[in-house]
Amino acid sequence: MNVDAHIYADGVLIRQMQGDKTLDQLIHTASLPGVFSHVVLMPDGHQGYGFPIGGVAAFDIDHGVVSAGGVGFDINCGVRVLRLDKKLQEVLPRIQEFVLALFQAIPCGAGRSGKSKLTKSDLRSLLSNGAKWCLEKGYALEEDLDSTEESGSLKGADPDAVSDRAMERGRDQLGTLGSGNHFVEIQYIEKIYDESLAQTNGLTVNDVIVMIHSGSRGLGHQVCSDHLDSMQSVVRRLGLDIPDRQLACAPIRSPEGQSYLAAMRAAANFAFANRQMITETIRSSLRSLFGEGKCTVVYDVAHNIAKEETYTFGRGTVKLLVHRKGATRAFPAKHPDLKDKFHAYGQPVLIPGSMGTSSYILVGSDISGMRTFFSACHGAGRAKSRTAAGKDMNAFDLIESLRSRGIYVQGASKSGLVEEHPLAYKDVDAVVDVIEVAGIARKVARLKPIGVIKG
Amino acid sequence: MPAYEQDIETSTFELLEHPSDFGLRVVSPHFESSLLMIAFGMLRSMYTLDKNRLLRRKTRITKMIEAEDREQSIVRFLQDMIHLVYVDRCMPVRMSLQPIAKHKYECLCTCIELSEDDDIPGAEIKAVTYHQLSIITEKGQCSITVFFDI
Repeated sequence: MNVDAHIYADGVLIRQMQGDKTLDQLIHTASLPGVFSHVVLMPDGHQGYGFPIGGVAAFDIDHGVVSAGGVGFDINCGVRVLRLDKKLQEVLPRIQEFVLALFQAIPCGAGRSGKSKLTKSDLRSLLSNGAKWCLEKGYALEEDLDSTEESGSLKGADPDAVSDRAMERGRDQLGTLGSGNHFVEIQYIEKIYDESLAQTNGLTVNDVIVMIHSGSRGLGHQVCSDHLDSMQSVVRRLGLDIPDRQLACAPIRSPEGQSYLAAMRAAANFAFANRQMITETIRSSLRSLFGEGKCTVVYDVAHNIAKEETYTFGRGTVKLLVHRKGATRAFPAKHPDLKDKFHAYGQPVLIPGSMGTSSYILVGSDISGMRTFFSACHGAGRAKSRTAAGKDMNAFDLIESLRSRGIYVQGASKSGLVEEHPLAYKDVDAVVDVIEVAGIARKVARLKPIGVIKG
Repeated sequence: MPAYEQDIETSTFELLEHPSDFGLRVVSPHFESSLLMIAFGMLRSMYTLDKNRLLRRKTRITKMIEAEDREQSIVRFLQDMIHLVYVDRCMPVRMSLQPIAKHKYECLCTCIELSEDDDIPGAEIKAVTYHQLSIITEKGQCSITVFFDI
């Protein structure tokens, strides 16, 4: 190991991490060349590929490396939270209709295409501009972008760094949810922990919320695969000693490192635009069902990404490339990269639970940032493999069990549903408690699900 | 060098657990036949074909695989198959793999068009990983293990 590894967990969570290769993967991450100060594992951490899910590692911009596997395949997989201008009492009588309307309107599941196929020139513009492309085309409001990390448009994105093959995979996938753990969930605010912070974000008890979890779809996966391939050559050429080929990396300043970052930013822009297009579909369904209805973006944040950030270290500052693989950025109030109300009060940190359990909105609170590189957890974290989860129950029993608790579910496939059942995940309440007790982020609101659309 | 042939019906594979996703393991006498079997294992995990599949019109597609080592040839070949399914919307049902040089192959794929109405999507395999990828040759058998991101 080149640096220490810091783990945030309670006794139960750490025992779960010891049950697979999570901690080995954290050690591998701490062994990468040029890794800075320490690596971090969040309380929802579990085994991934190369990097553990829930892992954070920072690298000096001038002397460190960038790892495509350290960002992951689903570049800018992330979460967006929307607040409807409706209360629980208005939506509850029509929740089944609402769930069905969203399920029919949002393409979800394996191999599903979007409503249209982008032209090559539109796709290139989208990759360069992200959610700003949606704004130009009339698919977004100015305020949507104001409440999105980096305004939904990462600078330095270069469509020329994205292969034709990746472009082909993305052309008909804009506005699609995907499969696996991706979802759209209808929730309501069950509890407010901090009235002042909740008010700042327009949140009150019984507000209806829609949470979107999706990413860059096949395009992002292909970008990762392409650049992982080119990084294998760099590792061989430079004789880098890496413990897992999935951790292939390149010096940040090298042509391969710069090319990956330009492509990763383009894929991240695709993901921001994807969540924006899903938002537009939700707005349209809302209007169809309720006649009228406003839908405000509370926040949108990535949890698979590498970002250049500046940190105060000792008496000076250092510019780092922070890899977050299944970890959410959590800037506190007054952070120079935040604007407007987020600068005043801190960045919302969006933590989805598993299907049927609570989700949380927190706000970044660690003033120093150096402990976790301004990062928090990204969800509950898997506790069981998909195969094991699939053996626990059948889809009918799961749907009935959730319905008896007032949660209506529509899923693209029965197997996909059971693989995501609530007990396949860790206890999200315990995960979020660790984050708060450690002073990484503060709880603002707890959300309870009433409808789930699973990819 | 002889060509190695395999079809979707007779390929066998073992499903492996992974905390996030899943993997496959195949065993056969040669690396090349294991390569074809792991490809069919992946394809069968992605789609269950309708029983009338063999009546559909077939097309032939040639894929060239060139890599720096055997692990990379597995990853590149399987990525080609993912592209065939999601972009070209076709499914190889028979493949013939001809070694050309070291880590270089030509694969002739006999494919059928995927049907949105009749074929049932399974796991949305989006990428092939190098994580725990292994090729073990012993006692005249070659075993390949691959984990996938879904």
